[in-house]
Order: sequence, then structure tokens, then C-alpha cells
Amino acid sequence: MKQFIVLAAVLPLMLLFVAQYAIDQRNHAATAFVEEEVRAACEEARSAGCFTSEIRERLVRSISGKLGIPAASVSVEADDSVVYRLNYFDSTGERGLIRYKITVPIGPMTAYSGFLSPAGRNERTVVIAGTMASERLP
Amino acid sequence: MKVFIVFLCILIIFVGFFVYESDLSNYLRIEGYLKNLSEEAACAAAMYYDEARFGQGIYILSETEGRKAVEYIVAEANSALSSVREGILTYELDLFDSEKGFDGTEQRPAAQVTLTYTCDDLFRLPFLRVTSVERRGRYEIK
Repeated sequence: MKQFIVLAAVLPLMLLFVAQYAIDQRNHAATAFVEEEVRAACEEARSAGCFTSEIRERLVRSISGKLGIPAASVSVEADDSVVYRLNYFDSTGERGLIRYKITVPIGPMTAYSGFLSPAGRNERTVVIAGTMASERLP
Repeated sequence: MKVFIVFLCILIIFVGFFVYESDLSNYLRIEGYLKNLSEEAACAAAMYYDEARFGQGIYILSETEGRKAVEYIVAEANSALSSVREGILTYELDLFDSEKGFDGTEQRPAAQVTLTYTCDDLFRLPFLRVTSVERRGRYEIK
């Protein structure tokens, strides 16, 4: 009986590691997927000169569809006016460069989140931001 | 007591495994970030060329403008990385064209950027030590 009680106490603690491993693997795969999708969208945006509404929609649809999160929670902050290619580098960074910041909440960071973490503070968010040179010719 | 010792051993192994797994995930993210960044920088460096020579059908890359672009991108990445972890990101730019020479059998103008991120040990386990990550990106013009 004593050993059964010890097992009952220890088992949930040990299962935490298994659940945490599963969550880590899932988050890692989701992060890699988001990075890959953003990279593909950036290649399109570079040719188009900006993140057009089609590129944004395709990116949001793809991420929300694959990760099963609401489209409204995927945030795409990027220049929507066309940026043209220059044959010199503008050191101020105001011309010829496209900036972007994509924010995607991908789910809980730790297992037993309702029990171990304060409410609303366990959400893992992937933020991918960067700058790229536009390839679009005037 | 025996059960407690066994439990403690298993717990230490599990915690060690999780520390390693979390550090490895972080390392892979930095590696992926540098890979994308080096490709981005190489692409930016390959976009600036000598217009007069281009009119004669020769693509000569502009080292001055290319270096400015890479420096700008690396400086932005450096400030983004420093908000996450102490470290320094350095770059090396190599340009290949008919004036500067080619490095391979393919005679194509290209820009190659090698990024090196030097930081404190990326792994917390005592028997693993990785203090720098290096990735290289190349952009060729066909």
C-alpha cells in the first residue's frame, strides 16, 4: 500500500517530463514551419517590392490552417507600399529596403500549464522580423 | 531509501535531458536564423553592380555598396540578437566576378557572406561547449 501511494504521488511528476517533451517537439516543429513559410513569403515580397495583400493572405491562411490557430491571431506588420530596387545602398535604410515583422502565437510553452503557470503567461509566441532589399525594378 | 535514490537518479537524468533539449533547440534556431540572414545579406550584396560595365555585357559587383548593405543588415541582426543573448555577430563578404576572379568551375558572378556569431557557451551541460556558430550564404547570378 505504501509503495502504491508513493507511485501515485510520483507518477504525475514523472509524466510531466513526457508531456513537456511532447510540447517542446511540437513547438519546435511549429517554429520551423513558421520560419519556412515566412521565408517563402519574403522571397515573393522581395520580387513584388512589398508584402502585397495576396502574399499576406496566403501567409496567414497557410500558418493558421496548418497550426490550427485563428487567422486573426497571426500578425503581419510590413510595408505595403511598393519599394523599388536601387543601384546604390541608401545608408539611412529608408529606400530600397522592405521591413517586416510576423508574430504568431503557437501554443503553451510548458505542460500542466493551467496548474503550474499563471493564467495567460504561458503562451509561446514566435516573432520573425527582418529587413531585405527589394528586387523590383521601377 | 533505495526507491528515493532511484527516483533522484531518474529525476537528475530527466532534468539533464531537458536542459540539453532546450539548449539544442535554441542552438538550432540560432543556426537557422544565421542561415537565412546570410542568404539575405548575400542577396543584398549581389544587387549592386557597375552600370557602365553592365552596358558592355559584363556584370561587375560593387564592393562598396555591397559592403554597406551587408553591414546594415548585420548591424540590425546584432541588435536583435543582443536583446536575447550576449554575443557578437561578425561577417565576411566575398565577391566573385570576372574582375575579382571566380572561386569555382562555374564562372558566375556571386556574393558570399559568412556570418560568425560568438557568444557564451550555448549549452549549459558541463561536458558540452559551443561558443560560436558559423553559417554561409551565397547568391549567384545566372
